[in-house]
Amino acid sequence: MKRSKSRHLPKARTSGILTREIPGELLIYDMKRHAAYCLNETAASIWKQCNGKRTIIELVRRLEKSCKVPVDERIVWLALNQLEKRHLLDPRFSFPSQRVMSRRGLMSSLGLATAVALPIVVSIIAPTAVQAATCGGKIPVAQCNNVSRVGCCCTINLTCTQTLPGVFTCILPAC
Amino acid sequence: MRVAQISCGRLIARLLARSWRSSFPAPELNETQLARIAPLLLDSGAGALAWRRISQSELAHTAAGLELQQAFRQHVLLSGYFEMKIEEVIRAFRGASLEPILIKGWSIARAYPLSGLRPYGDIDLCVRPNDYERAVRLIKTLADTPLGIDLHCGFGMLLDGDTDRIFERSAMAKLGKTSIRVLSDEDQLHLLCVHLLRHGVARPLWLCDVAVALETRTDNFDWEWCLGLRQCRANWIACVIRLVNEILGADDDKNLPANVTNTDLPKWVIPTVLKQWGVPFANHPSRQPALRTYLSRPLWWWKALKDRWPNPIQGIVSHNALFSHPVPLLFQVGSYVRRAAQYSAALPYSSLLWDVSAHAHLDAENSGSANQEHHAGN
Repeated sequence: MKRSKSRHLPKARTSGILTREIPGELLIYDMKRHAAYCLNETAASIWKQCNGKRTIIELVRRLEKSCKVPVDERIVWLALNQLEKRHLLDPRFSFPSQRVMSRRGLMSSLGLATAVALPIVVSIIAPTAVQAATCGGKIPVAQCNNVSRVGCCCTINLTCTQTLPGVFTCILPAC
Repeated sequence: MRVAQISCGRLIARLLARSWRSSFPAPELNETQLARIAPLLLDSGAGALAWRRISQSELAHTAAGLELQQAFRQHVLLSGYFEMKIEEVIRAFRGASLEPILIKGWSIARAYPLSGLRPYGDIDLCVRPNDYERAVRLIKTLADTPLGIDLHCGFGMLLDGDTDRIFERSAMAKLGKTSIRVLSDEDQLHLLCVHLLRHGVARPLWLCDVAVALETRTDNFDWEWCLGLRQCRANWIACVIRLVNEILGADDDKNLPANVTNTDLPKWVIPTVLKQWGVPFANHPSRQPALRTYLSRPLWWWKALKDRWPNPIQGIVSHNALFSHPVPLLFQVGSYVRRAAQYSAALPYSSLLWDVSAHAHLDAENSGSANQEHHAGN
Protein backbone atom coordinates (compact mmCIF):
# COMPACT_ATOMS: atom_id res chain seq x y z
CA MET A 1 0.00 0.00 0.00
CA LYS A 2 2.79 2.36 1.01
CA ARG A 3 4.77 1.48 -2.10
CA SER A 4 1.75 2.17 -4.27
CA LYS A 5 1.35 5.59 -2.70
CA SER A 6 5.00 6.52 -3.16
CA ARG A 7 4.71 5.80 -6.87
CA HIS A 8 2.55 8.92 -7.08
CA LEU A 9 5.01 11.12 -5.19
CA PRO A 10 7.21 12.68 -7.84
CA LYS A 11 10.95 12.77 -7.39
CA ALA A 12 13.33 14.76 -9.55
CA ARG A 13 15.91 12.64 -11.28
CA THR A 14 19.38 13.54 -10.11
CA SER A 15 21.70 10.90 -11.50
CA GLY A 16 23.33 11.78 -14.80
CA ILE A 17 21.85 15.25 -14.63
CA LEU A 18 23.72 18.52 -14.82
CA THR A 19 21.90 21.72 -13.90
CA ARG A 20 22.77 25.36 -14.24
CA GLU A 21 20.64 28.32 -13.28
CA ILE A 22 20.55 31.49 -15.29
CA PRO A 23 18.22 34.44 -14.73
CA GLY A 24 14.62 33.23 -15.08
CA GLU A 25 15.53 29.74 -16.26
CA LEU A 26 16.91 26.43 -15.12
CA LEU A 27 18.99 24.57 -17.68
CA ILE A 28 19.25 20.81 -17.45
CA TYR A 29 21.60 18.55 -19.34
CA ASP A 30 20.69 14.88 -19.32
CA MET A 31 24.09 13.30 -19.76
CA LYS A 32 22.71 9.80 -20.22
CA ARG A 33 20.37 10.73 -23.04
CA HIS A 34 22.49 13.61 -24.31
CA ALA A 35 19.53 15.92 -24.21
CA ALA A 36 19.23 19.45 -22.86
CA TYR A 37 16.20 21.28 -21.54
CA CYS A 38 15.27 24.73 -20.46
CA LEU A 39 12.71 25.10 -17.65
CA ASN A 40 10.96 28.34 -16.95
CA GLU A 41 10.66 29.52 -13.35
CA THR A 42 7.39 27.71 -12.67
CA ALA A 43 8.59 24.38 -14.03
CA ALA A 44 11.95 24.78 -12.32
CA SER A 45 10.31 25.56 -9.01
CA ILE A 46 8.13 22.44 -9.21
CA TRP A 47 11.00 20.20 -10.38
CA LYS A 48 13.23 21.33 -7.52
CA GLN A 49 10.51 20.57 -4.96
CA CYS A 50 9.98 17.02 -6.17
CA ASN A 51 11.85 15.03 -3.54
CA GLY A 52 9.77 11.87 -3.61
CA LYS A 53 8.12 12.74 -0.30
CA ARG A 54 5.89 15.68 -1.14
CA THR A 55 2.37 15.15 -2.35
CA ILE A 56 0.87 17.12 -5.19
CA ILE A 57 -1.02 19.25 -2.70
CA GLU A 58 2.21 20.08 -0.93
CA LEU A 59 3.83 20.99 -4.23
CA VAL A 60 0.89 23.29 -4.95
CA ARG A 61 1.26 24.97 -1.56
CA ARG A 62 4.96 25.47 -2.05
CA LEU A 63 4.44 26.94 -5.49
CA GLU A 64 1.79 29.29 -4.07
CA LYS A 65 4.22 30.35 -1.40
CA SER A 66 7.02 31.09 -3.86
CA CYS A 67 4.75 32.81 -6.40
CA LYS A 68 2.58 34.51 -3.76
CA VAL A 69 -0.57 33.78 -5.78
CA PRO A 70 -3.16 30.99 -5.72
CA VAL A 71 -2.13 28.08 -7.92
CA ASP A 72 -4.42 25.60 -9.62
CA GLU A 73 -3.39 21.99 -8.97
CA ARG A 74 -3.52 21.35 -12.69
CA ILE A 75 -0.50 23.63 -13.11
CA VAL A 76 1.56 21.15 -11.11
CA TRP A 77 0.16 18.23 -13.09
CA LEU A 78 1.00 20.02 -16.31
CA ALA A 79 4.59 20.51 -15.14
CA LEU A 80 4.90 16.90 -14.00
CA ASN A 81 3.49 15.74 -17.29
CA GLN A 82 6.21 17.56 -19.21
CA LEU A 83 8.97 16.58 -16.80
CA GLU A 84 8.00 12.94 -16.91
CA LYS A 85 7.92 12.88 -20.70
CA ARG A 86 11.46 14.24 -20.76
CA HIS A 87 12.71 11.68 -18.24
CA LEU A 88 13.45 14.35 -15.66
CA LEU A 89 11.54 12.52 -12.93
CA ASP A 90 12.51 9.34 -11.20
CA PRO A 91 11.19 6.53 -13.43
CA ARG A 92 9.41 4.96 -10.45
CA PHE A 93 6.97 7.85 -10.53
CA SER A 94 3.79 7.11 -12.41
CA PHE A 95 0.78 9.26 -13.07
CA PRO A 96 -2.47 8.22 -11.39
CA SER A 97 -4.68 6.91 -14.18
CA GLN A 98 -7.17 9.75 -13.78
CA ARG A 99 -4.34 12.25 -14.27
CA VAL A 100 -3.01 10.86 -17.53
CA MET A 101 -4.15 13.57 -19.84
CA SER A 102 -2.52 15.22 -22.77
CA ARG A 103 -0.64 18.47 -22.38
CA ARG A 104 -3.03 20.02 -24.83
CA GLY A 105 -5.96 18.81 -22.73
CA LEU A 106 -4.46 20.29 -19.61
CA MET A 107 -3.70 23.53 -21.38
CA SER A 108 -7.20 23.90 -22.71
CA SER A 109 -8.80 23.10 -19.37
CA LEU A 110 -6.56 25.62 -17.64
CA GLY A 111 -7.17 28.27 -20.24
CA LEU A 112 -5.49 31.58 -19.71
CA ALA A 113 -7.03 32.21 -16.32
CA THR A 114 -3.94 31.51 -14.28
CA ALA A 115 -2.10 34.01 -12.16
CA VAL A 116 1.12 32.05 -12.35
CA ALA A 117 3.04 31.49 -15.55
CA LEU A 118 2.37 28.12 -17.11
CA PRO A 119 5.22 25.69 -16.60
CA ILE A 120 7.27 25.24 -19.72
CA VAL A 121 9.93 22.64 -20.39
CA VAL A 122 11.52 23.03 -23.79
CA SER A 123 14.26 21.07 -25.46
CA ILE A 124 17.36 22.89 -26.48
CA ILE A 125 19.94 21.40 -28.77
CA ALA A 126 22.30 19.39 -26.63
CA PRO A 127 25.59 21.19 -26.27
CA THR A 128 28.53 19.79 -28.17
CA ALA A 129 32.16 20.69 -28.20
CA VAL A 130 31.71 21.55 -31.86
CA GLN A 131 29.55 24.49 -30.98
CA ALA A 132 32.00 25.59 -28.36
CA ALA A 133 34.71 26.33 -30.84
CA THR A 134 36.30 23.23 -32.17
CA CYS A 135 35.24 19.99 -33.70
CA GLY A 136 36.04 18.23 -30.45
CA GLY A 137 35.13 14.69 -31.42
CA LYS A 138 33.49 13.42 -34.58
CA ILE A 139 30.15 14.76 -35.70
CA PRO A 140 27.26 12.69 -37.04
CA VAL A 141 26.84 12.95 -40.80
CA ALA A 142 23.51 14.69 -40.31
CA GLN A 143 25.23 17.51 -38.45
CA CYS A 144 27.38 18.34 -41.46
CA ASN A 145 24.82 20.92 -42.50
CA ASN A 146 26.28 24.40 -42.06
CA VAL A 147 29.48 26.38 -42.33
CA SER A 148 30.35 25.92 -38.69
CA ARG A 149 30.81 22.20 -39.35
CA VAL A 150 33.18 22.61 -42.29
CA GLY A 151 36.49 20.96 -41.47
CA CYS A 152 35.01 18.80 -38.74
CA CYS A 153 35.49 15.03 -38.80
CA CYS A 154 32.37 13.03 -39.55
CA THR A 155 31.71 9.72 -37.85
CA ILE A 156 32.41 7.89 -41.11
CA ASN A 157 36.00 9.12 -41.20
CA LEU A 158 35.39 11.82 -43.75
CA THR A 159 35.59 15.56 -43.43
CA CYS A 160 32.56 17.82 -43.52
CA THR A 161 33.01 19.99 -46.60
CA GLN A 162 31.03 22.64 -48.43
CA THR A 163 30.67 21.23 -51.91
CA LEU A 164 28.36 23.89 -53.30
CA PRO A 165 26.98 27.09 -51.78
CA GLY A 166 24.66 25.87 -49.05
CA VAL A 167 25.46 22.20 -49.65
CA PHE A 168 27.47 20.37 -47.03
CA THR A 169 28.69 16.81 -47.32
CA CYS A 170 31.02 14.46 -45.48
CA ILE A 171 33.30 13.92 -48.39
CA LEU A 172 37.06 14.32 -48.04
CA PRO A 173 38.90 11.44 -46.41
CA ALA A 174 40.82 13.58 -43.96
CA CYS A 175 39.97 12.03 -40.65
CA MET B 1 22.40 58.14 -53.01
CA ARG B 2 23.68 54.75 -51.94
CA VAL B 3 24.67 54.47 -48.30
CA ALA B 4 27.75 52.35 -47.72
CA GLN B 5 26.91 49.19 -45.82
CA ILE B 6 28.77 48.71 -42.58
CA SER B 7 31.00 45.66 -42.81
CA CYS B 8 30.19 42.54 -40.79
CA GLY B 9 33.52 42.83 -39.01
CA ARG B 10 32.72 46.37 -37.93
CA LEU B 11 29.26 45.34 -36.72
CA ILE B 12 30.73 42.46 -34.72
CA ALA B 13 33.24 44.81 -33.12
CA ARG B 14 30.45 47.25 -32.32
CA LEU B 15 28.30 44.55 -30.72
CA LEU B 16 31.04 42.88 -28.71
CA ALA B 17 32.57 46.10 -27.43
CA ARG B 18 32.61 45.94 -23.61
CA SER B 19 30.21 42.96 -23.68
CA TRP B 20 32.31 41.22 -21.01
CA ARG B 21 31.74 43.98 -18.45
CA SER B 22 29.10 44.01 -15.74
CA SER B 23 27.43 46.99 -17.41
CA PHE B 24 27.52 48.23 -20.96
CA PRO B 25 25.61 50.62 -23.20
CA ALA B 26 22.73 49.48 -25.41
CA PRO B 27 23.86 47.89 -28.69
CA GLU B 28 24.06 50.25 -31.64
CA LEU B 29 22.73 48.07 -34.40
CA ASN B 30 19.39 47.12 -35.86
CA GLU B 31 17.64 43.81 -36.44
CA THR B 32 18.85 43.42 -40.02
CA GLN B 33 22.41 44.05 -39.02
CA LEU B 34 22.15 41.54 -36.18
CA ALA B 35 20.74 38.95 -38.58
CA ARG B 36 23.73 39.52 -40.85
CA ILE B 37 26.32 38.90 -38.18
CA ALA B 38 24.57 36.27 -36.04
CA PRO B 39 25.89 33.30 -38.08
CA LEU B 40 29.41 34.69 -37.83
CA LEU B 41 29.07 35.21 -34.08
CA LEU B 42 27.72 31.71 -33.57
CA ASP B 43 30.36 30.22 -35.81
CA SER B 44 33.20 31.87 -33.95
CA GLY B 45 31.93 31.09 -30.44
CA ALA B 46 30.95 34.67 -29.58
CA GLY B 47 27.20 33.98 -29.62
CA ALA B 48 26.83 33.96 -25.85
CA LEU B 49 28.67 37.25 -25.43
CA ALA B 50 26.56 38.78 -28.16
CA TRP B 51 23.42 37.52 -26.42
CA ARG B 52 24.48 39.15 -23.19
CA ARG B 53 24.91 42.45 -25.00
CA ILE B 54 21.44 42.35 -26.58
CA SER B 55 19.54 40.54 -23.83
CA GLN B 56 18.08 43.73 -22.39
CA SER B 57 17.19 45.24 -25.75
CA GLU B 58 14.42 44.66 -28.28
CA LEU B 59 16.88 42.69 -30.37
CA ALA B 60 16.59 39.88 -27.83
CA HIS B 61 13.19 38.94 -29.25
CA THR B 62 14.27 38.73 -32.87
CA ALA B 63 14.99 35.45 -34.64
CA ALA B 64 18.73 36.11 -34.56
CA GLY B 65 18.48 37.12 -30.92
CA LEU B 66 16.80 33.85 -30.01
CA GLU B 67 19.54 31.91 -31.78
CA LEU B 68 22.13 33.74 -29.74
CA GLN B 69 20.16 32.97 -26.59
CA GLN B 70 20.19 29.28 -27.48
CA ALA B 71 23.95 29.47 -27.92
CA PHE B 72 24.26 31.02 -24.48
CA ARG B 73 22.13 28.26 -22.93
CA GLN B 74 24.20 25.59 -24.65
CA HIS B 75 27.46 27.16 -23.59
CA VAL B 76 26.29 27.43 -19.99
CA LEU B 77 25.54 23.70 -19.91
CA LEU B 78 28.69 22.81 -21.77
CA SER B 79 30.77 24.86 -19.36
CA GLY B 80 29.23 23.00 -16.45
CA TYR B 81 30.03 19.68 -18.11
CA PHE B 82 33.58 20.71 -18.93
CA GLU B 83 34.22 21.97 -15.43
CA MET B 84 33.25 18.59 -14.08
CA LYS B 85 35.54 16.83 -16.55
CA ILE B 86 38.44 19.20 -15.92
CA GLU B 87 38.28 18.33 -12.24
CA GLU B 88 38.36 14.62 -13.12
CA VAL B 89 41.32 15.04 -15.47
CA ILE B 90 43.33 17.14 -13.04
CA ARG B 91 42.69 14.63 -10.27
CA ALA B 92 43.92 11.85 -12.57
CA PHE B 93 47.09 13.83 -13.35
CA ARG B 94 47.74 14.48 -9.68
CA GLY B 95 47.12 10.80 -8.96
CA ALA B 96 50.02 10.11 -11.32
CA SER B 97 52.16 12.78 -9.61
CA LEU B 98 51.87 15.11 -12.58
CA GLU B 99 51.14 18.78 -12.16
CA PRO B 100 49.91 20.37 -15.39
CA ILE B 101 49.11 24.01 -16.03
CA LEU B 102 45.75 24.59 -17.64
CA ILE B 103 45.96 27.21 -20.37
CA LYS B 104 43.34 28.94 -22.52
CA GLY B 105 39.80 27.50 -22.22
CA TRP B 106 38.60 27.47 -18.65
CA SER B 107 41.61 29.43 -17.38
CA ILE B 108 40.36 32.53 -19.18
CA ALA B 109 36.64 31.66 -19.17
CA ARG B 110 36.66 31.92 -15.36
CA ALA B 111 37.57 35.61 -15.65
CA TYR B 112 34.30 36.41 -17.47
CA PRO B 113 31.42 37.60 -15.31
CA LEU B 114 29.18 34.62 -16.15
CA SER B 115 29.83 30.97 -16.81
CA GLY B 116 29.06 30.11 -20.42
CA LEU B 117 30.00 33.45 -21.91
CA ARG B 118 33.30 32.07 -23.08
CA PRO B 119 32.90 28.58 -24.58
CA TYR B 120 35.78 26.20 -25.03
CA GLY B 121 36.04 22.89 -26.78
CA ASP B 122 38.97 21.09 -25.24
CA ILE B 123 41.33 21.01 -22.28
CA ASP B 124 44.77 22.47 -22.95
CA LEU B 125 47.32 21.19 -20.47
CA CYS B 126 51.01 22.04 -20.34
CA VAL B 127 53.44 19.80 -18.53
CA ARG B 128 57.17 20.05 -17.95
CA PRO B 129 59.14 18.41 -20.79
CA ASN B 130 60.43 15.73 -18.37
CA ASP B 131 56.86 14.74 -17.55
CA TYR B 132 55.57 14.73 -21.09
CA GLU B 133 55.94 11.03 -21.91
CA ARG B 134 54.29 10.00 -18.66
CA ALA B 135 51.45 12.43 -19.32
CA VAL B 136 50.92 11.00 -22.81
CA ARG B 137 50.69 7.51 -21.32
CA LEU B 138 48.26 8.74 -18.69
CA ILE B 139 46.00 10.36 -21.27
CA LYS B 140 45.79 7.07 -23.14
CA THR B 141 44.34 5.53 -20.00
CA LEU B 142 41.70 8.26 -19.87
CA ALA B 143 40.19 7.04 -23.10
CA ASP B 144 36.68 7.22 -21.71
CA THR B 145 36.97 10.97 -21.23
CA PRO B 146 34.90 12.25 -24.13
CA LEU B 147 36.86 15.45 -24.42
CA GLY B 148 39.86 16.58 -26.37
CA ILE B 149 42.83 16.83 -24.06
CA ASP B 150 45.43 18.90 -25.81
CA LEU B 151 48.70 18.11 -24.11
CA HIS B 152 51.62 20.48 -24.60
CA CYS B 153 55.25 19.75 -23.88
CA GLY B 154 56.23 22.93 -22.10
CA PHE B 155 54.80 26.07 -23.66
CA GLY B 156 56.26 25.88 -27.15
CA MET B 157 56.28 29.21 -28.87
CA LEU B 158 53.34 30.57 -26.93
CA LEU B 159 55.50 31.68 -24.03
CA ASP B 160 59.07 32.81 -24.19
CA GLY B 161 60.37 32.22 -20.70
CA ASP B 162 61.99 29.27 -19.00
CA THR B 163 59.43 26.52 -18.29
CA ASP B 164 60.46 26.09 -14.65
CA ARG B 165 60.19 29.83 -14.10
CA ILE B 166 56.71 29.86 -15.63
CA PHE B 167 55.69 27.04 -13.32
CA GLU B 168 57.13 28.93 -10.36
CA ARG B 169 55.10 32.00 -11.24
CA SER B 170 51.90 30.04 -11.87
CA ALA B 171 48.89 30.40 -9.60
CA MET B 172 46.13 28.19 -8.26
CA ALA B 173 42.48 28.77 -9.13
CA LYS B 174 39.54 27.07 -7.50
CA LEU B 175 37.20 24.95 -9.58
CA GLY B 176 34.61 23.22 -7.44
CA LYS B 177 36.59 21.27 -4.87
CA THR B 178 39.75 21.17 -6.96
CA SER B 179 42.57 23.67 -7.24
CA ILE B 180 43.70 24.09 -10.80
CA ARG B 181 47.13 25.38 -11.68
CA VAL B 182 46.91 28.27 -14.13
CA LEU B 183 49.36 30.77 -15.55
CA SER B 184 50.21 33.97 -13.74
CA ASP B 185 48.30 37.02 -14.99
CA GLU B 186 51.36 38.23 -16.87
CA ASP B 187 52.02 34.94 -18.65
CA GLN B 188 48.32 34.53 -19.35
CA LEU B 189 48.11 37.87 -21.13
CA HIS B 190 51.32 37.16 -23.03
CA LEU B 191 50.06 33.76 -24.15
CA LEU B 192 46.65 35.03 -25.17
CA CYS B 193 48.21 37.76 -27.30
CA VAL B 194 50.67 35.46 -29.03
CA HIS B 195 48.08 32.74 -29.62
CA LEU B 196 45.66 35.25 -31.09
CA LEU B 197 48.28 36.68 -33.43
CA ARG B 198 49.51 33.30 -34.59
CA HIS B 199 45.97 32.61 -35.74
CA GLY B 200 45.69 35.97 -37.44
CA VAL B 201 43.12 37.29 -34.92
CA ALA B 202 40.61 35.00 -36.62
CA ARG B 203 38.07 34.93 -33.79
CA PRO B 204 36.66 38.01 -32.08
CA LEU B 205 36.32 35.93 -28.93
CA TRP B 206 40.09 35.73 -28.62
CA LEU B 207 40.31 39.50 -28.62
CA CYS B 208 37.62 39.60 -25.93
CA ASP B 209 39.81 37.20 -23.95
CA VAL B 210 42.65 39.69 -24.10
CA ALA B 211 40.28 42.45 -23.05
CA VAL B 212 39.11 40.43 -20.06
CA ALA B 213 42.64 39.45 -19.06
CA LEU B 214 43.69 43.08 -19.37
CA GLU B 215 40.84 44.45 -17.32
CA THR B 216 40.99 41.83 -14.58
CA ARG B 217 44.75 42.07 -14.07
CA THR B 218 45.96 42.57 -10.54
CA ASP B 219 47.27 45.87 -9.23
CA ASN B 220 50.82 44.57 -9.03
CA PHE B 221 50.80 43.35 -12.62
CA ASP B 222 54.39 43.06 -13.83
CA TRP B 223 54.37 44.60 -17.29
CA GLU B 224 58.05 43.97 -17.76
CA TRP B 225 57.55 40.22 -17.35
CA CYS B 226 54.46 40.24 -19.50
CA LEU B 227 56.10 42.04 -22.42
CA GLY B 228 59.10 39.72 -22.24
CA LEU B 229 62.68 40.20 -23.24
CA ARG B 230 62.35 40.04 -27.01
CA GLN B 231 61.60 43.26 -28.82
CA CYS B 232 59.26 41.61 -31.30
CA ARG B 233 57.14 40.02 -28.58
CA ALA B 234 56.85 43.29 -26.70
CA ASN B 235 55.80 44.94 -29.94
CA TRP B 236 53.18 42.27 -30.63
CA ILE B 237 51.66 42.47 -27.18
CA ALA B 238 51.61 46.26 -27.27
CA CYS B 239 49.90 46.15 -30.66
CA VAL B 240 47.27 43.67 -29.44
CA ILE B 241 46.53 45.89 -26.45
CA ARG B 242 46.19 48.91 -28.71
CA LEU B 243 43.97 46.83 -30.98
CA VAL B 244 41.69 45.65 -28.20
CA ASN B 245 41.50 49.18 -26.96
CA GLU B 246 40.58 50.64 -30.34
CA ILE B 247 38.25 47.89 -31.60
CA LEU B 248 36.56 46.73 -28.42
CA GLY B 249 37.03 49.70 -26.12
CA ALA B 250 38.91 47.75 -23.47
CA ASP B 251 40.80 49.24 -20.55
CA ASP B 252 39.49 52.76 -20.68
CA ASP B 253 41.44 53.78 -17.64
CA LYS B 254 44.59 54.15 -19.73
CA ASN B 255 46.60 52.76 -16.87
CA LEU B 256 49.03 51.20 -19.26
CA PRO B 257 52.82 51.46 -19.41
CA ALA B 258 54.36 54.03 -21.72
CA ASN B 259 55.92 51.42 -23.99
CA VAL B 260 52.43 50.14 -24.75
CA THR B 261 50.68 53.47 -25.20
CA ASN B 262 53.57 54.80 -27.30
CA THR B 263 53.38 51.90 -29.71
CA ASP B 264 51.78 52.85 -32.98
CA LEU B 265 49.27 50.42 -34.35
CA PRO B 266 49.85 50.29 -38.12
CA LYS B 267 46.87 51.47 -40.12
CA TRP B 268 46.45 48.16 -41.90
CA VAL B 269 45.91 46.11 -38.74
CA ILE B 270 42.33 47.10 -37.88
CA PRO B 271 40.98 46.65 -41.43
CA THR B 272 42.75 43.29 -41.62
CA VAL B 273 41.16 42.12 -38.38
CA LEU B 274 37.69 43.37 -39.26
CA LYS B 275 37.92 41.75 -42.68
CA GLN B 276 38.95 38.49 -41.01
CA TRP B 277 35.95 38.62 -38.69
CA GLY B 278 33.64 38.97 -41.67
CA VAL B 279 34.70 35.54 -42.91
CA PRO B 280 33.22 32.43 -41.26
CA PHE B 281 35.70 30.91 -38.86
CA ALA B 282 35.09 27.60 -40.60
CA ASN B 283 36.94 29.02 -43.61
CA HIS B 284 40.01 29.81 -41.52
CA PRO B 285 43.15 27.94 -42.64
CA SER B 286 43.30 26.10 -39.32
CA ARG B 287 39.93 24.50 -40.06
CA GLN B 288 40.67 23.39 -43.59
CA PRO B 289 41.06 19.69 -44.31
CA ALA B 290 44.66 18.45 -44.36
CA LEU B 291 46.46 19.08 -47.64
CA ARG B 292 46.99 15.37 -48.17
CA THR B 293 43.25 15.03 -48.64
CA TYR B 294 43.56 17.00 -51.86
CA LEU B 295 46.33 14.88 -53.37
CA SER B 296 43.93 12.79 -55.37
CA ARG B 297 41.81 15.79 -56.31
CA PRO B 298 43.91 18.18 -58.42
CA LEU B 299 40.90 20.34 -59.18
CA TRP B 300 40.75 21.29 -55.55
CA TRP B 301 44.41 22.32 -55.30
CA TRP B 302 43.78 25.92 -56.24
CA LYS B 303 41.19 26.26 -53.49
CA ALA B 304 43.44 24.47 -51.02
CA LEU B 305 46.35 26.79 -51.78
CA LYS B 306 44.19 29.91 -51.80
CA ASP B 307 42.66 29.05 -48.44
CA ARG B 308 46.11 28.82 -46.90
CA TRP B 309 47.25 32.32 -47.81
CA PRO B 310 48.17 33.90 -44.43
CA ASN B 311 46.96 37.33 -43.45
CA PRO B 312 49.63 39.99 -42.81
CA ILE B 313 49.42 39.45 -39.05
CA GLN B 314 50.26 35.77 -39.38
CA GLY B 315 53.02 36.62 -41.84
CA ILE B 316 54.67 39.04 -39.44
CA VAL B 317 54.36 36.78 -36.42
CA SER B 318 55.65 33.72 -38.23
CA HIS B 319 58.83 35.70 -39.03
CA ASN B 320 59.24 37.20 -35.55
CA ALA B 321 59.05 40.60 -37.21
CA LEU B 322 57.73 43.91 -35.92
CA PHE B 323 54.31 45.27 -36.81
CA SER B 324 55.95 48.52 -37.83
CA HIS B 325 57.54 46.90 -40.89
CA PRO B 326 56.49 48.90 -43.96
CA VAL B 327 55.84 45.92 -46.24
CA PRO B 328 54.00 43.11 -44.41
CA LEU B 329 53.31 41.47 -47.77
CA LEU B 330 56.91 40.27 -47.78
CA PHE B 331 56.23 38.23 -44.66
CA GLN B 332 53.02 36.85 -46.06
CA VAL B 333 54.88 35.62 -49.13
CA GLY B 334 57.74 34.37 -46.96
CA SER B 335 55.40 32.53 -44.64
CA TYR B 336 53.56 30.94 -47.52
CA VAL B 337 56.71 29.88 -49.32
CA ARG B 338 58.23 28.50 -46.16
CA ARG B 339 55.20 26.40 -45.37
CA ALA B 340 55.00 25.19 -48.94
CA ALA B 341 58.68 24.26 -48.79
CA GLN B 342 58.21 22.43 -45.52
CA TYR B 343 55.35 20.51 -46.99
CA SER B 344 57.17 19.74 -50.23
CA ALA B 345 60.24 18.58 -48.33
CA ALA B 346 58.10 16.04 -46.58
CA LEU B 347 56.48 14.73 -49.75
CA PRO B 348 59.00 12.04 -50.75
CA TYR B 349 58.67 10.37 -47.40
CA SER B 350 55.35 8.66 -47.08
CA SER B 351 55.55 8.43 -43.32
CA LEU B 352 55.93 12.18 -43.11
CA LEU B 353 53.43 12.76 -45.83
CA TRP B 354 50.69 11.25 -43.79
CA ASP B 355 51.64 13.20 -40.71
CA VAL B 356 51.96 16.64 -42.24
CA SER B 357 48.65 18.38 -42.01
CA ALA B 358 47.21 21.70 -42.95
CA HIS B 359 47.77 22.62 -39.36
CA ALA B 360 51.51 22.80 -39.78
CA HIS B 361 51.62 26.29 -38.34
CA LEU B 362 49.64 25.11 -35.35
CA ASP B 363 51.92 22.16 -34.86
CA ALA B 364 54.88 24.47 -34.77
CA GLU B 365 53.15 26.54 -32.15
CA ASN B 366 52.28 23.52 -30.10
CA SER B 367 55.58 21.75 -30.58
CA GLY B 368 55.31 18.43 -28.87
CA SER B 369 51.60 18.73 -28.52
CA ALA B 370 49.82 15.39 -28.31
CA ASN B 371 46.36 16.05 -29.52
CA GLN B 372 43.87 13.45 -28.57
CA GLU B 373 41.48 14.77 -31.11
CA HIS B 374 41.20 17.13 -34.03
CA HIS B 375 42.96 20.34 -33.12
CA ALA B 376 41.42 23.61 -34.10
CA GLY B 377 43.25 26.09 -31.96
CA ASN B 378 40.89 26.58 -29.13
